[in-house]
Amino acid sequence: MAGEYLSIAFEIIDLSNMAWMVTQGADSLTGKHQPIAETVRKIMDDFPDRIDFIDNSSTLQPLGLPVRKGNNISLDKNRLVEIAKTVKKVAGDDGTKNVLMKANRILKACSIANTYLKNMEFFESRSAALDSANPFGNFMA
Amino acid sequence: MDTNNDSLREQIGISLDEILEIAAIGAIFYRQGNLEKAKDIFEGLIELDSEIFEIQSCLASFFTKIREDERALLHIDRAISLNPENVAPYVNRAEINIRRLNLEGVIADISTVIKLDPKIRNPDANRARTMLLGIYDVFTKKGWIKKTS
Repeated sequence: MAGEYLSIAFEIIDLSNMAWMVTQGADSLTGKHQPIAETVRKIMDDFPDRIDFIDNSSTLQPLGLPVRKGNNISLDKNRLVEIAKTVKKVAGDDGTKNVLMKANRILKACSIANTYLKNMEFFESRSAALDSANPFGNFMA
Repeated sequence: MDTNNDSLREQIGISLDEILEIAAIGAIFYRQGNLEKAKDIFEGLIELDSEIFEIQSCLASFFTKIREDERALLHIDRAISLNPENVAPYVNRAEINIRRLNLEGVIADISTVIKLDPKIRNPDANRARTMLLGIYDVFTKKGWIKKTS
């Protein structure tokens, strides 16, 4: 649906017109063309029916993280253990409920990340072993 | 856990790069659709340092995606105050404003995104452009804007 929507959209508008459209929309909302603004609001009532193209693209939703190549993570899993130990010590020394709750959230994050890194390490070593033995080998063999 | 102006991250000596590496693992879960794990990672990181744009932005995206708009907006506002030059929070706010039928808000945020990415190089900004195309389509089908060739 998202692709279809885009292809239809690209048939009727060229990217160079976008700035014009934004200006048009902005003008209509700043009082220069008040009747249009009223109409725009009515038109927007139709919009919920068309929101599916946004949902379909949500796997591409921007997170704001720096762009990186592939899924390569250079963090060492032992560093996560070190961080977790330090957090535990700081929270234990403090001992208040609020601090312990915060520490729990940090420890949970470290634990999930640590498991991910361990799994990736296992997968990569298994993959390398299979590659050297048989390039067509099944990973579950 | 902050006892002074330094974040816990600084107090215990975790670098910003390390935080972003852990966040990248959260992003992998997020893109795989494993939202619970992604959320747990982002929420843990924000306890370490709430002043990192990228973590505020990740939580903004997460709450936008699951449609907890009020919580999303808190993180969006914080993210924009930390880094007004990154398009991601504006794109998420535009999505929320479409849900709320707040056209003024949608136009304002998409305008900002286009200004921040005038050469159409940022893939994040293209989601905003898709929203704009969708709005344009509604307008043209209603006959309020003439189709361009």
